[in-house]
Amino acid sequence: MTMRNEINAVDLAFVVDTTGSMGGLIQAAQDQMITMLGEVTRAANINLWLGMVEYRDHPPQDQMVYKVYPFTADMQEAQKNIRCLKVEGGGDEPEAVLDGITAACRELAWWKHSCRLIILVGDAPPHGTGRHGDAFPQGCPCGETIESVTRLAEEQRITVHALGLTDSVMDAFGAISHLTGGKFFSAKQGNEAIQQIAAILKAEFADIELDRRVLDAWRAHPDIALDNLAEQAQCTRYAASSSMVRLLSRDLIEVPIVS
Amino acid sequence: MTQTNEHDIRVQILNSFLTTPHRKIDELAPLHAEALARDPLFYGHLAPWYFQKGEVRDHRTLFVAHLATSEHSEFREAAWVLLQGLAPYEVARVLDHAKRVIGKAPRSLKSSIAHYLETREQNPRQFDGAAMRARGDLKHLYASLRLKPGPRAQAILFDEQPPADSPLAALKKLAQAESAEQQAEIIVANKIPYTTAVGALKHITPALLVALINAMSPQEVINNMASLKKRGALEHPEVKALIEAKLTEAKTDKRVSTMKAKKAAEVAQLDAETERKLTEITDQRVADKVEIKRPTALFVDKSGSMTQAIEVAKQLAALVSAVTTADFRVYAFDTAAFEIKAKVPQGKRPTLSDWESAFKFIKADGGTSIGVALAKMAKERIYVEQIVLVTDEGENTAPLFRDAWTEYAKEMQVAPSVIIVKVGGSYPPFEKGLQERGIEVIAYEFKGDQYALPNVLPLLALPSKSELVDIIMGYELPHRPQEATGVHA
Repeated sequence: MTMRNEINAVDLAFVVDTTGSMGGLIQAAQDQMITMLGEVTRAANINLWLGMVEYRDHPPQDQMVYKVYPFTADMQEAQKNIRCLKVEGGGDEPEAVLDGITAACRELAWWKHSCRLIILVGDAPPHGTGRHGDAFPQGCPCGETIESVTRLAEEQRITVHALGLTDSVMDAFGAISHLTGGKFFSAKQGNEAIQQIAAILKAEFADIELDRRVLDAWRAHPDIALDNLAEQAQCTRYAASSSMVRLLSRDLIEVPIVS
Repeated sequence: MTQTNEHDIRVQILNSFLTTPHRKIDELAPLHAEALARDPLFYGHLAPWYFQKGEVRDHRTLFVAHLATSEHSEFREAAWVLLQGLAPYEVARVLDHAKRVIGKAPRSLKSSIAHYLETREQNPRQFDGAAMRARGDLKHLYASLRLKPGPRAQAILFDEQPPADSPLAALKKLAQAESAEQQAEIIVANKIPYTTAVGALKHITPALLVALINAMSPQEVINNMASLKKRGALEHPEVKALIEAKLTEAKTDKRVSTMKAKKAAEVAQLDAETERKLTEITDQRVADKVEIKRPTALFVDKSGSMTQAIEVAKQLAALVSAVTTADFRVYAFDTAAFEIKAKVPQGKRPTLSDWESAFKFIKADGGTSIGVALAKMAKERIYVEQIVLVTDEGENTAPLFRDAWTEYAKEMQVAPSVIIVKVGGSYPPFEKGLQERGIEVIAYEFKGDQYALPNVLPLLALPSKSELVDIIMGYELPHRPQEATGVHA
């Protein structure tokens, strides 16, 4: 793995439903993901790594539950992976959405200091959300719930934004995205989703130079007072304090162990 | 309309007034139009309450514009009176907004502006000061309403022949003065405003800066901090000392806007000492405005992605601790809760900088259990009557807040009201869940404008939302004094 720039690293993972019902939607979804990739790369001076998880369903509904595509910095390879997604199977309407997110959280190698995002793309809700004909009405066989996967994402500092391609996912995808601090977009808002995610990244990295100065000042003197930190970083206390929270949250500044 | 509905609408209107874009009156206008349409009675009382308690000047401008163009004569009457307390640039904005956005400028509005101008003309010192700061706005008011100016106004505004005793004449002299000493004398003798003087001067020496700062009000010093810094005022010890003296004055100057000091610090990127002084002004000014008498807890959501909530919480903690006379606790939570304590000597109130230090190593990570802090308080038997939640409402881990609240209410024999400051989004099922348990909830949406946060304080200072609405309803629409009812020709 090449050395990553710690300040502006972004790990982005698409978690995509590739069951048969996506047949009429996959082309548009692929186009949106690729457009989003371009927009996100252009949105700010970021060092982007892209990963992907495609999910279908548990047996007997489908033989493939999910498949993980590791993070890559090669955007051509990433685009190729997106373009190669094929849809099939799935069985009943609800799918292994929760498995897809769990796999993304647990099996992708998220970098310690990166800004972490999942974009969930699908047309069907998870199991156990009260849909008619659900083969697993008591909940997903993986044992996860919307609450548990969103907790897992939050614990890993991952924000999930969701692009719902049908109205039936609005409640479940809305909850998943909201409970991790992300946003839900309907298919009609595809362009808005792209713009908003680009805007989120722009905001996250708007103060990149300031963050760099604060980090440098902090590393030179880890016991530095906030006043002095602000002075050395040539910013206000407020700006230094905000920057500290960003850097702390991405583990770029370690919280000292108090004995 | 049932009483509950009526209250809900009024609370919604109040909530909307929390988020305030600065200098974007057009974006703010629909809020006023909607509030006036939904509950004119409440809007009419809200206006005088806001004139006394509110912080954002744009709202005052809009209250006057909307009342002035209302179909209700008592509202137009109230606007007539409220307009007299505005600055000339605000009066110009009222007129423009009424004409351009609302589409009408009734006779009572014209009469109010005519009286406004006439009153200022009667006091040459006041008129000259206004003309110096807002010449264009005054000209605009006379010209748009085709009002005949008095001789002094005519000479100053339209003939460009200011009387020899006016500061505008002094400004002409200032532009022609050859030495810095002469310039300084003219500035001091005529109290020429900073922004006006710097436009007339090519080169500004430290001696001139001293003269200029001496002529400034504390608010002007704060407003022009970035410009003063650019001109080297903070590098010169004597000039810097003068600025600091003005800032000390600002602490007790009731005309100084509560959050302007903080804004100035941010914009100007000041040194730590000057910034600390500006922060002290903010804290002092806030402390003068309200008093929170009920024991209060502030819960800060520090789960993953809540970095902004942590910043908002610091501001709120400082605002609340500056004005509370009751017990005040701050907790940060993800799936666990811990108390955050600002270290200050006994008997001293923590300031924003104390809270910044206390929050220094708080980072956003982990899942979300909004109830966990309240469960901890129940266990430790800490009594509060209101809880401020700074959160996006996305709880995914037990104890859920509604369950913890029910348990707390049972254990502590109290039903704390809940004020939600929504940061980074909202999740309607959360609030619905609270309302289903009969929990009194007021929700505010924070849209990134930290300067609107002081508007939360009057609401925290009151026992309940019903009482708040009652208090606002107790503010009477102002009436003009009998002698002012004549129409200016």
